[in-house]
Amino acid sequence: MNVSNGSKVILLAQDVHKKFKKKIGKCEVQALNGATIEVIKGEACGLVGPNGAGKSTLIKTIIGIERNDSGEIDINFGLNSSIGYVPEKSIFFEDLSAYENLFYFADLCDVDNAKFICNNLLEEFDLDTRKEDLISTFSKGMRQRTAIARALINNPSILILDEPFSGLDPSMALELRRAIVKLKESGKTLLLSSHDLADVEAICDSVAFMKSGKIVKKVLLKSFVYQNAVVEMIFSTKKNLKMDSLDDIIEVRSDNELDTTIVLNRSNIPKIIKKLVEGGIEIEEVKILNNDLSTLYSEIIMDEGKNAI
Amino acid sequence: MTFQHCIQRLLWMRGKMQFKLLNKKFQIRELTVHMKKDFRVLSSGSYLLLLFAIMLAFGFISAYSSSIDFSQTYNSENIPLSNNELTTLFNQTIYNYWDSTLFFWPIMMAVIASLLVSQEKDDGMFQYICTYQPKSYFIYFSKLSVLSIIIILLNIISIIIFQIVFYFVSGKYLPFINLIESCIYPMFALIILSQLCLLIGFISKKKNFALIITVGVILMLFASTTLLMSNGVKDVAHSGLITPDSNMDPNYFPIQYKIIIVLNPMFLQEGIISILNLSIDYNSGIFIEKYFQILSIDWYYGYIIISMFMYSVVSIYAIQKSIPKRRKNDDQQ
Repeated sequence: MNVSNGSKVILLAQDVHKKFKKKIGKCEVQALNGATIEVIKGEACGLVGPNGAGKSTLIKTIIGIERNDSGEIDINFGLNSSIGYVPEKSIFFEDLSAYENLFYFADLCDVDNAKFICNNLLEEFDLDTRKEDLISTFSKGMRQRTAIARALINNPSILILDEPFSGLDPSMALELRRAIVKLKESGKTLLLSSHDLADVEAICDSVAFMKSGKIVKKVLLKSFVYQNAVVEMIFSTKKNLKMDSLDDIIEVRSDNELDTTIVLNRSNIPKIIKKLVEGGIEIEEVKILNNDLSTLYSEIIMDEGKNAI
Repeated sequence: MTFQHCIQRLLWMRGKMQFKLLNKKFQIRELTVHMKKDFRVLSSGSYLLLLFAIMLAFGFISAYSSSIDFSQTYNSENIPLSNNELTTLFNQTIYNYWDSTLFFWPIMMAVIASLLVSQEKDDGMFQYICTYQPKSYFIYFSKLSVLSIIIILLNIISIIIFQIVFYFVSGKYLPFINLIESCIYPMFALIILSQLCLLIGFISKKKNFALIITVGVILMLFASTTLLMSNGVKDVAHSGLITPDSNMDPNYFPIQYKIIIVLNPMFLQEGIISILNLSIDYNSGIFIEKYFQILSIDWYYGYIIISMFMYSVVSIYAIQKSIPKRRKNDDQQ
């Protein structure tokens, strides 16, 4: 399990099953039904799926909060390393300051130079000015950033984030997204569960689609989504342009006397733009017709659902 | 084996010992980390200070009332008291003080102990801490140590308050040794009670549930102690079999008394009477004296050790169940 396609596998969950027994009614819920996921070193893997798909259960099973009924979970730690976990609901010692909250975990993990590390992390997540304030006075966005800082306290091999954007307003979500992108750029391995496909697309290298307790598909965003995305480009047709000279165009429309719209694959954008510019055509607007990941999501999740019906 | 081999062997053993010591030091460090956190969490919440203040206020009122009683009894005697009589009066005063003070303490300590665990469990922090795979026994002993320190501090402060109030009211000092001795049983009773409440906290998922169960258990313990004492005293009064000089039949008291007592740490409070050589009134005095005579002092210590061990093992097991077991695939290359 150490190496997959030349890359070191950090996390491998294979055929994981988990059943929950409901206290009332004696019925059982199959939360995980043979979930299999692999995360390689340095990868930012998104985990998407509808509510009740089993994303949080899979994460909790990987962390060890929940125990799997069957299947294997291998975590390939480096020396003295661990998993960093950011739970869906940020949990803190509410009556302690942000610094104290971080310091306890640094101390618990026996981190060298704990004070410096805590201060550094708080500064990195723009919390240094509020570090002595009680966590109970923090906004949701600040709490989430503190939770990520806390999860990074012992420099974990992999950082697992469970719905970090839920309940955040757009500006806070953007701030948090920037912080996570920064982490990814620093080479940290991430497993991110989210409902917000735009965030997943902005952060992750790959996405695992989860449905009914299973990973139904895992795709690499760059090699799959971007190649298949369809883009609409509107430009002025005052100048005469021979459309035949442009290859790889899916559709050409003349919306009115002035404007022409062409529809093309996203992968052909550079080539088309070059030709348009060479032909002296001014591009007025570029629209992504199908929001890449959401199309893929509906294709995979909805179609799976239809097939199942 | 050559001399050189012996030296090598000794050096190897020294190295192994050093490694073990270093390891121990690290483990103790983990205990102190948890303890610091528990103290900080307790002290940051206003409820602890409030409960502490209420407990000490009760202590102050009891101290004042007991001291007044002492002064009245002492001054009402026409002839000077002998040393033995004075010691008995001092002991009686100490008992009166604890009797009225300790009524309130168990429920307060139970609430503190229960909250210390259930608060963390309720908001999910306990589970989060467990993802860092701490040692279950350190989590447990940290909380127990913090509670024990609070109980010891509470006892010491109470004694000091009592001594000061007693001096201002009566102009005399209580024998310090007797005061310290009188602390032993309530101290252990409260520690064992805290262990019981910690256990309730560890096995409960929600704070409110833990608090309700804790208060219920404490009330049951109080009720069973009262029932046991009143039945025992009645038995003694009606039987006419027991006199201060009679040899007690160990099977005189029915088995249910013993079961209730074994389950109830509050009976350790009654040990104060034994240790101070007191009898409250003739019947209850005989009952307590004879009853605890059957139990004997070794039985007390046996009870304390067995209870502490039993509660610790069950609680540590409950914590252990919460700590994730991860399959590590350590790649050391």
